[in-house]
Amino acid sequence: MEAAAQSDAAAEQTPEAVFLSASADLYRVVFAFTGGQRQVAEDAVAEAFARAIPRWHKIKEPRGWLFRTAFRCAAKDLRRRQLTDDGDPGDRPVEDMTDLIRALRAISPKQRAAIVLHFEMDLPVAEVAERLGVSPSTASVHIHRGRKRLAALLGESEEGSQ
Amino acid sequence: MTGWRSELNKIGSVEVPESLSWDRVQPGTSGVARRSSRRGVRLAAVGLGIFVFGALGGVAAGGLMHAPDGSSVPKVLVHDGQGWNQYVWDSDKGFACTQLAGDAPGSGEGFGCGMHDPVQPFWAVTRRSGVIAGILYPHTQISATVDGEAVAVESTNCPCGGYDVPSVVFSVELPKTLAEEHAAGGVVWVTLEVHESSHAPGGTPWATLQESVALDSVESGSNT
Repeated sequence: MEAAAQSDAAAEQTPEAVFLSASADLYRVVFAFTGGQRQVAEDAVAEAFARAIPRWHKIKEPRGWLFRTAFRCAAKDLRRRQLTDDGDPGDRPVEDMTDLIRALRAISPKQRAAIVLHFEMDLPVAEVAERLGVSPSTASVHIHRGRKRLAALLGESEEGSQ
Repeated sequence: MTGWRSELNKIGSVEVPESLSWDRVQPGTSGVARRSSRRGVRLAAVGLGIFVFGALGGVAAGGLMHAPDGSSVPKVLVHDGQGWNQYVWDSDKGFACTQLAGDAPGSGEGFGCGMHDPVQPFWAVTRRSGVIAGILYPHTQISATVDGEAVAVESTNCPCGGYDVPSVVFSVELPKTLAEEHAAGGVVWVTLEVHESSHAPGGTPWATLQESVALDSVESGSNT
């Protein structure tokens, strides 16, 4: 039984299994991280997997590694775009999300990612920290400040501060 | 204003691009190429296999190749509908496009250079372009059928300067009837009979390879 459970656990951690189970969430968080730049998010996610797969067996916790790598790739791409003014017409926010994207672009990338991971993906602070590659206290600050700023920009939610 | 939480919920419905999909068509052999406008094809290697994700078209064939220093290097050829690109694995850079080759196998100067002596033959996968391509053992000739129908094979022994053992790069264009039949996708059986170059095709094949090949929305012409 134990061997079977280990085998199941290993199967759940194959590159393909992780891709199928995590890539959509990863894309959406990176999409938020980039302030709604779809091409950057897509490239960052694909790049993270492309980098992870050759060294898969060395990575202890693939999901966290993939998130951190995708954030780094996206941040690098965003910096390059700022330097070269490499805009992409495909990165215009969809109409329904104009307010959200505008608000997200008013806070830092890590704040964007932190609030999506915490409030949208329901991850506890410790896991948000692990995904971002920061300490739990830093993650808490990102969540708190990001939430406060979003509330100021988009209005407090009906449920209160949550 | 609907409140920040309501707005944030929209992130959960952001559509994931189709090109960000996983294709692992034949484990350990080949995959479908992703081509982005800015970054080209993104590939990753696992052991003998080449895993490629994304689905914007093109033909990819890859496998583990002997490098000049005796090591084994993952290498992939991708036909993007306009020409062949060669990608070689580099431990520092990942897959990097090393050259842009000619329009078809054998037509580009230096095509397949360094693509010699495959450790194992490997298959190609077609997607949209209606072309099946691959790389087989060196010094071989190939005849092919697709769903039992004989098809023309374009192949070449790669003229690689400095290497004694070229590999064979081949491509098979789907018969028009089959391409139309599978316009919305489907599976075809491809059989390759591999003959040693010194033996005329028609005799006993040196090897017979048969694989099902998944097609997806075969579209002739551009894959963009």
